[in-house]
Amino acid sequence: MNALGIIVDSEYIRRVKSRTFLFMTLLMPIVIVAIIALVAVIIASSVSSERAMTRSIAVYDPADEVFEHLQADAPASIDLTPVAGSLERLKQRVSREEFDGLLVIPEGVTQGDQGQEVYLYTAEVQSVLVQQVLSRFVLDVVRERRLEQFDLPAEVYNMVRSGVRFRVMEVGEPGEGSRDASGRAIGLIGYGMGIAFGIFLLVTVYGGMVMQAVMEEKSSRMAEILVSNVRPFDLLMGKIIALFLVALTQIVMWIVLLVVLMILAGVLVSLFVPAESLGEFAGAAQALQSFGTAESVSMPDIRGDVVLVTLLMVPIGYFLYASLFGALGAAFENNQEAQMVIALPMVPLVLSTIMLQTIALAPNSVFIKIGSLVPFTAPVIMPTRMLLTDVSAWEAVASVVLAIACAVATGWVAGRVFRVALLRYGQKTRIRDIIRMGIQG
Amino acid sequence: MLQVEEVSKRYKTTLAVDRASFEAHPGRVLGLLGPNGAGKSSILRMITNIIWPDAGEIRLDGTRVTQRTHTKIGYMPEERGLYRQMPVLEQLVYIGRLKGLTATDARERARQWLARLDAEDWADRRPRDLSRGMQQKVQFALTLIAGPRLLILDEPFSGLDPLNAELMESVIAERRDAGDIIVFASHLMEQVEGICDEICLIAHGRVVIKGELNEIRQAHGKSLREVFIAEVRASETSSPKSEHERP
Repeated sequence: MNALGIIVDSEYIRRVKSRTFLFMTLLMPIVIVAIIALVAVIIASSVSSERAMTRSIAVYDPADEVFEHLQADAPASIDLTPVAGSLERLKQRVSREEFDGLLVIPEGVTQGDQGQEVYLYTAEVQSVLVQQVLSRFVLDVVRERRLEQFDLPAEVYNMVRSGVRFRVMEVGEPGEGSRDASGRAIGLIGYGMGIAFGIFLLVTVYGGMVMQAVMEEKSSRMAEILVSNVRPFDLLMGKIIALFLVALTQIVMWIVLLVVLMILAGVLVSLFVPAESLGEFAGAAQALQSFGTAESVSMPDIRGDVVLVTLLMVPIGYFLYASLFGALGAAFENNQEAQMVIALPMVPLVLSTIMLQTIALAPNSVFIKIGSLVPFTAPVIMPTRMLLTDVSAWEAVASVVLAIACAVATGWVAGRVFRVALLRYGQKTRIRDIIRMGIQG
Repeated sequence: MLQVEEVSKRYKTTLAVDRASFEAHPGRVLGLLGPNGAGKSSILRMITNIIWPDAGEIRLDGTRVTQRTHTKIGYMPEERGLYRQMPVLEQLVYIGRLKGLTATDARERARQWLARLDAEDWADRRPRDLSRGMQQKVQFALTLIAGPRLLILDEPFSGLDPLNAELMESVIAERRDAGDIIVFASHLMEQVEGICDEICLIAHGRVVIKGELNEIRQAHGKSLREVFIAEVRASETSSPKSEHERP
């Protein structure tokens, strides 16, 4: 085995055998499952308690147009009381908490005049759930009252009442059918965010570990022993590769453990949670989903070329940033000194995630096109852009080639900085010193 | 034989080593002496290929020192370096492998050296749990693990109690008798006089005196300490300061 192989082997074994690795690998999925379970329980119990709580609502309906119908259709959790008199006094009663809210129905609401507004006055902000329940049923009642005035035939009445669904379909290849694409955009953005998060995790956690490992060797003075035996470039690359393998090992173990834990959690829930309580979870999920913009989120079909570019871009992105972190680790002796410049390599990564938010709106804008070609943002932008729009083959190839070239150049420059900086002690390192080391070696 | 021929090294505007030449022979210990900042560490780093000379050449047994010669060199720097968290045996095996040994060989040799240095019980301990003297012995084992042809020891006895210093001295003597080339850098003249066969005194990056220790003492009619002080002072007057001062 050559020196690079020995460094990778030693670093990898040392990391995966450490207690921290085992602890984090086992703990993280448990924490994630626990958080998901906790959130589900909290939401379910909150929704359940919100529904169980009766709200007393005073209804100010001076023309007596809808109160009767409101009362007839009100959900069990809403107790309606007709009120009259001065609006100001009624509001004061709400302030004194005689009612949870005051619903003010404007005169002529059933006439369908433009710009009419129904108000709900409350002493405290009512939960989103209560607001939604109230607004839905009030608007339904008003609409029905308006329609009833015209004495419409039943079929016309029902036709107007029935809603219209809006669906987005994606046209397939000739001979293939069209596919429902409603919610795909959100799925695609989710995929892009997943890649961004993956690279972020790789860079910040494992790139950060590269920096820590280099700093440890520098501060423990092990560096001098090592570079008398191996090329500094091999030492840096060995760490970067080893930590990438550690990351892959940890991520695979997390996925496996998460799947096992989820299955286990499902079995435990079905064994110990009564079936009627499960309805609360479903209800909570439905209540939450109704606040979203899409009716459903569907997993996007991911083309082979996108998978390929993603599989290339993730390690390239990691390598790019980890090289920078390695060079910075060599330039400083401790975290305090490094803190000043550590944020610099993160800037393009943060910029990528900001660009990601606009990519769904304009995947072919100049801004996004440039971002998908610039090596420091391309690992995040290009795979997502390829998912959302047709990217020409030359752009995809250029993006990958540029990223590889930049990664190799960054690795080479980082190696130069690493070699010079690693044995530099007791001197304050400035950014211009690091740049000079990279240029002059 | 180690041959350092007309070697120079400059850092920015500072000439750290100025056409230094000396030799170290198999079966002998060369004492590399000099005041702080004289250029000793730069010379040692060039011999170990950590940095490269701007001019001149360094040869080991006739072969130019390159990355490939690292397996023949055991280097114990002045600033001791050990992974604080890695068990001692693991560190020895790691460095042994980097020096070309197989994992099995490295493990076997590591245990042998730990036993020879009365440190076999520390194999599974971490340096953070060891005293400075103990760490020093581990460092020494690290230097010897691959059976180097050239042994470079920079202040090897600092922090050692007399018993352990004697143990280390006896190991150095063994290696010398086995025909290894040993370069010993130190400020402690008594130790140099006790161990070295030859000396090379560096001041302001230049070799100001070199040769057999006994011959130098006889020629100057002084102790090594007195020779050291006199030669360093003499070099200060003859050397342009701005050229040699470290920033």
